[in-house]
This record gives sequence, structure tokens and C-alpha cells, in this order.
Amino acid sequence: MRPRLFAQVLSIEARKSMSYRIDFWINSLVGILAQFVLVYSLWASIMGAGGAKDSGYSFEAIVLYYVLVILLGKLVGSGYHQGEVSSDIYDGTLSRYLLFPSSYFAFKYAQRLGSLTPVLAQVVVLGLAYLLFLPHPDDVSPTTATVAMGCTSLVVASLLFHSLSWLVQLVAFWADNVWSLVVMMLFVARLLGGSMIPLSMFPAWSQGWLVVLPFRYLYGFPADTIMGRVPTEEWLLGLAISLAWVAAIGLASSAVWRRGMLSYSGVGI
Amino acid sequence: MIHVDRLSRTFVVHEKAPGLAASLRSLVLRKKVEKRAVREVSFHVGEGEIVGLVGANGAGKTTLVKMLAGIVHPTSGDARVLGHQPWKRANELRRQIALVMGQKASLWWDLPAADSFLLLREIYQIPEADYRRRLDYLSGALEVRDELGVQLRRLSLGERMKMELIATLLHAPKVVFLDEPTIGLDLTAQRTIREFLLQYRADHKPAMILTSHYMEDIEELCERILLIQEGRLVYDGPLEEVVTTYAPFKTLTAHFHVGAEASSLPSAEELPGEVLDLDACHVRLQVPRGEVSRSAQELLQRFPVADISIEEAEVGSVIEQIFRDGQLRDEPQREPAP
Repeated sequence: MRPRLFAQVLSIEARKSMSYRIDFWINSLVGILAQFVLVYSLWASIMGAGGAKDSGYSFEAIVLYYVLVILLGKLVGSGYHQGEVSSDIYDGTLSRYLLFPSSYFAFKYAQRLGSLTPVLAQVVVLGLAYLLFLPHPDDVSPTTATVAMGCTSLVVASLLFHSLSWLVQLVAFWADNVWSLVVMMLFVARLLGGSMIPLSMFPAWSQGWLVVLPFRYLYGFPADTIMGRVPTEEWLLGLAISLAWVAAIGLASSAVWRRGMLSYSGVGI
Repeated sequence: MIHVDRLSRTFVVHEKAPGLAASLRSLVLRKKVEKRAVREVSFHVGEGEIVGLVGANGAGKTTLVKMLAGIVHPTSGDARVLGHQPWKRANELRRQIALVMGQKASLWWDLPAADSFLLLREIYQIPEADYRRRLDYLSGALEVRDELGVQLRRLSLGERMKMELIATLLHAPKVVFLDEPTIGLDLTAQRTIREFLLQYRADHKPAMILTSHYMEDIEELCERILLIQEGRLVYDGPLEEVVTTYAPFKTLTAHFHVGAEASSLPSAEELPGEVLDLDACHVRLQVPRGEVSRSAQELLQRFPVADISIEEAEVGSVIEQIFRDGQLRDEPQREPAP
């Protein structure tokens, strides 16, 4: 897809997300603040009771970790509702995109990025709230370099999430309704990605697996990178593993897409 | 511009009997049924032609259009649209075709149409000057210039359909598929769209395939129709000839001399045809096409007939009958027009 078209799709989706003012602000602020208050209270209790001593995080560090994981998670895996591609297949909306002389995958990715506009408001609000009101850790040190490395990881994480979600949703060519599958994928991705619990708290035997699976690179890895907890060699290796997953999922998706299109019936028109 | 050669499409669908027990059973076992939506259809459409695709619900019209637009793969057969196999979806082809889906919106619901058109300009890489000229022409001809800035969901059905047409034609496609473009519209909006399509055809000479359940659309826009029955093409030819092919009867009307004696007038049993109407002044008979001349002769010889006329069935009523019945006479498929 041409960059100009990509930007135009992104822009139209951003305009769409701002069409309804009340929905925009509720979507932007209420959910994320509730989520953060819940996580903060939970960890305050755990740490207050002397738990999670071996996690490698102080209470202040874990607060920062969750601020980052929540915000980065929104940037990576938020946007239009998670079953958009499968819905397009299910109700025949895909037909409209098939007529366009452009890539459906890229079109959907641009739409996803465009619909992240409320997330940008979340980043500003939660970011400011953290800087102004919450305790800052002494044991981690984000620098310009770690932030830049984290942002790079974030871009790859976004592409990885889109690819993964895309592959799972293509099952709709045969199963019609794949909502449960999408929810399950999201749960597994958040659990094994460090969005629910920092991955360092997982058992030692699982650490090797977590490194080679794709989920870590969606949430925990970019957050830890920004916090300066990931050495440069490990970051480069993580980036390589993420990109390898993007390529592998891309190949698999391409085959599934070709096969799925043979059975697509374009219902609804 | 469109060449279709023995194109077929079979779908596999799951069937389930009604009821809770059947729903539970279907969680484990499902009955698969093959549905042959389109069967070995062949035809050609040339530049500037508007061809009506006609058939009862479920006859396979939309599946055929979807294959030609590249949305659905065929099970067998071949088709070329502007020299391309449509289901390979080459960008070069997709820039030159368009599909209007009367039952499915393609514009963005929450945005003004003008925003969607800007995106389409980018998708189809329409030069700025051409875009402005075409948008001005299309919105003027369809009388929606003042509504371009209104959120789509706030427009009436007719206005939305007009916006869909503009979206479809902005890139000046050489081949246009119109699937029920006037569905649900009031008579004025239907007429505006028909007039617009005729004007567009005269100006741009695209090949068009139109499916519609409104006979006025078919009669006013199409000189040629394709009749589809259960996935098969059973008629490909001029609209007028549908009558001679599918209306097996003509209507014969005889007026009797004024003041003719009642005893000289016929009873229903004496008449050579099925009686539609009979009184002391006239009789209307439905007569098999091959027996019209003999029946007319018999009427003239046996009864005090002052005037006699023979009428063909109306094209519209013949096709509407086909829609209603979902059945056509068992005709062999004709060779595609050269």
C-alpha cells in the first residue's frame, strides 16, 4: 500500500473515532483509570503484605511497569474491536475491501492505527498522572536510549500483534464465528506476554519458553526495555525473534488467506 | 469487455433441522449439502451495453456478479473482465471495475460522504482535477451536491444510494456491476437513478450488468437480458423476445356487433380458448400462440364479430410471472451472442 493511502486510511479512521465526543472521552479515560486503580490497589496489598519479594521489582518499579504495560498494551493491541477481520468475513463486508486496488491487510492495519486516537489521549492522561502523583522508582533508570529502544520494540510489537490477530481471525473463513477463539488468543497473549503478571514471576522452567514464544514481545518486553531492564544484546535478540515470528505468521497467513478465499461466499450482498 | 465461459460455483452449506434436539445434534454432527448456485453459464457483454440479469430469488444472479467482480472464486469455468480473470484481483482490473451493492453500504457510516470520496480518490489514484470534475458532475446529476458534507447515517435511503453510486463511478470504471441499485427507493428516486444511469452510459460507454427486481429498471435500462433459473442461463437475448419465448399465450379480444341477437352470441364452452372475460359486447380469450390464427378465424366465422384484436403479453408481466413462479419453460441454453 502506498504511504499516502496508508496515511489517508489512518486519518479517516481517526476522524471516525472522534465523531462521537462523549464516547471518545469515556473510551479514552474511564476504562484506563479504572484498570490502573485496580492494578495499583492489588499490588499495594501484595507488596504491603510482603509478597512478590523475588520478582526483581520494587513497588515503585512495579507501578511504572504497569503504567507502561497498560499504555503500551493499548497501543499494541487496542484500536478497532478485536474481531474486525473475522466480522468482515462473517457478514460479507470483506467484499467491499476486495474491490479496492489495495492490500486488505495493510488497509486493516492502517485502520487499526487510525482508531488508536483515543489511546493517545490515554497516554497523555495516564502519563501525566504518573509523573505528577505516583512514586518514582530508584532501582530502574529509563534513558533516552532505552526509550528509543522501547519505541522500536513497540513498532514491532504492533505489527506482531496485528499479524497474530489476523491469522487467528482468518479461521472465520471456515468457522464463521470465531469470537471465542479471538478472546482466548487475547487472554493467552496477555498472560504469557507479561500484561497480567511480570514474566520474571513465572516459574524458572518456563523462562526459556517465554523467550522463544511471540507473546513476551507484545507487552513485557517493550515495557522492560523502556525501564532499562533489558541489556542491548538481549534487546537485539528479542527484536530478531519478534521479526522472525512476524515473518513466520505472515507466511502462514498468506497460505490460509489463499485457501480461505476459495471458500469465501460474500454473504450479505 | 466481459467474457464468461461455462462458469460454475458450488457452495457447501450446513443444514440443520429446527428444534433444540437438532441444535444439540449439530454440535457434533452436521449435514453438509452442496448447493450449485451457478451452473455452466456463458455469455459476452460488450462496450456500452447494459445487460439485465433476471431471475427469481436464489437463482444465482448475485453469485454470478460476485464472481465477475472478483469477490468469489468459481468452482469451474472461466471468465475474463477487460482481459483479466477477475478472482485474481489484479490491481489493474480493480481500478477499472465497480460494484454497487444495493443491500450493502460501502461508504463509511459515521462520516460525511465527502470524506469517503477523498479516501476513494486516494485508493483509485484519481488525479485532483479529474476528481473535482467527476464529483461535480455526479453530485449535480444526482442532485446531492448540498448533502456531501452530511454524515452518511443522517441521509435518507435514496440520498445514501446516490452517494453509493457516486462512490462507484468516481474512478470512471469501464465495467460496472449494479446489484439492486434501486432497492427500497421511492419512485422519484428510482427514476432519477435510472435517468442518471442512461446518461452515464451515453457519456462513458461502460459495460454494465444490472440485477433488479424492479421491472421498470430492466425495461428502461436494458435492451438485452440474461434469464437465470436455478443457476442456469436459460435465455440470452433481446428483452422483447422474452415474450415470444416465455409467454406461450396471446390475448385475443373480439367485440360483437351492437344489437346482435343474444342467441347468436357464444357461450363460454363454445369459444376456442380460455375465457378471460365474456359479456354481450365482447370476449377476451387466452389462446396458445400457435393457435391464434385458427381461433380468430373460428370467431369471425361463427359469431357476429365486428372487430378483433390480438395482443402480446407485456414484457414486464412475463418476467414478473417468472419471478413469482421461479420457473421457466425447459429451454435449452442458447449459444452466447457473438
